[in-house]
Amino acid sequence: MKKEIENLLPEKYIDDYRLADAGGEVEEIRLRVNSPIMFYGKTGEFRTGNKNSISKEDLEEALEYIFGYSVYAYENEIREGFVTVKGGHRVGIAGKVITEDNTIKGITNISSVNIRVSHEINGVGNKISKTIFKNGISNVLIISPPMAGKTTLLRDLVRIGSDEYGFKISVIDERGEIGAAYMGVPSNNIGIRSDIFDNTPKDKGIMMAVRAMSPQIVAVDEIGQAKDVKAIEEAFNCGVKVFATIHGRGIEDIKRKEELKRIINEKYFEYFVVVKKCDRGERIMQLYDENGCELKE
Amino acid sequence: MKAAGVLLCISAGFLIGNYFSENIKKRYMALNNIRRMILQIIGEIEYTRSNISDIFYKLSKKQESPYREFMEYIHSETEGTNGRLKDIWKRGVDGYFSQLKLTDKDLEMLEKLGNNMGSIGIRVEIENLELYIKEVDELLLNIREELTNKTKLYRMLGLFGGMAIAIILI
Repeated sequence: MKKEIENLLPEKYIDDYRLADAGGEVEEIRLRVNSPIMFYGKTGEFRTGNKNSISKEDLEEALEYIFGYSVYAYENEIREGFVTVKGGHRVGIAGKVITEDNTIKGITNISSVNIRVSHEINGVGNKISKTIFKNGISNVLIISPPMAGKTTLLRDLVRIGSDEYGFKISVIDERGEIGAAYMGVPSNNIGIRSDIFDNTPKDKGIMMAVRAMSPQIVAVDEIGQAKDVKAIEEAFNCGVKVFATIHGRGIEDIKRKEELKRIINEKYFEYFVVVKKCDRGERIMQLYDENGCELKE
Repeated sequence: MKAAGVLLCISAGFLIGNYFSENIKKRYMALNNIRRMILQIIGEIEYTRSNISDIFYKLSKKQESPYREFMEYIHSETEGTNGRLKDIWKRGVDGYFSQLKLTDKDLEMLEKLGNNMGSIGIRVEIENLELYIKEVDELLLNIREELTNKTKLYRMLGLFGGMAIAIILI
């Protein structure tokens, strides 16, 4: 994993990263023009002794690595402000946004980059999986704010469901963050009975998977748009269970989202998992049933 | 003895003429192979939208030497992010294509292609590659004319040159 991150940085900053990540703590790396390189971990911001400012050329070099020397391959992602690179790491970009008819056409003069280091933690879902898979397969919605670990949990639940419970799972990996597939083959462990639809839009991927792979579970990250919810409903109607994640602070927060109101109120999801990050950087997982009542072990 | 000397001069002259005409053929073939390689790259970009490294890895399997080695080199260097693409590309062109019978202008044109590669959106990326194809097409057209006109000329010049030297020596 370290090599994947090093491959995104100009050579002169690789030693800084190595020094900063000696204990494997780096969660974010910030590159800003005219500022020194900064790192973020569980306990917040930290820096190495390098006080040199990042030049425009340094950032351009980093961007060339981040885009895999192929801007054309990331055009759609750039419009959304972030790309997912090899290893499932997410890189956010900021600069001058070009708009036309109120639509974002692209981002130019990129001045800031935020590399969010993806962590594959096998076993993070062990505890809650015992409840979730107790009665066979269920629909599960994982709720958390950004950077709290919902994708990590989803990936591990997929691995457990596939390896330990023997379910056929289709993973719709629009951003490549679940399986981190390289040339179509996942580099993260998503289980031996999982099929990956890499770089596939969620709504289209769900229906493709249902038709093509006869899955028992479809796993999808960061739902939220009406078309995603519609595709999930269609999967429900086909008898396929869904593991999904969404941004939010809790169940009440999700209930307020217009697109999701109906499927939440009709209790399609049997389980909700709320993931939070406490001040010390540790993750807390709370499991709720379909009525929103917390389940204690 | 004289007959052998005459034969040697004529043969040498013919072979020199032949060497120059073969070089034109080799240049034609090299440009044609590069053209085919770029067309395959355009196809991959359009169809798969994969990144440069993946495309070069995939296409390297379909190439013959030295195009295969060139593509493998670009793949391994971009995979390991060993510098800017324009520098990697230049190193690849210098390292693998300088032995081909390409002219300095041909090599320069190919090196320039790497300057903009991968740094722009899909439409401009393809237009950029297609522009290179157009330029190569023009070169190929010229070489085809050269092939019909100059091949014979070189061979005859070589042959007559050899004969002339033989006569002078006699």
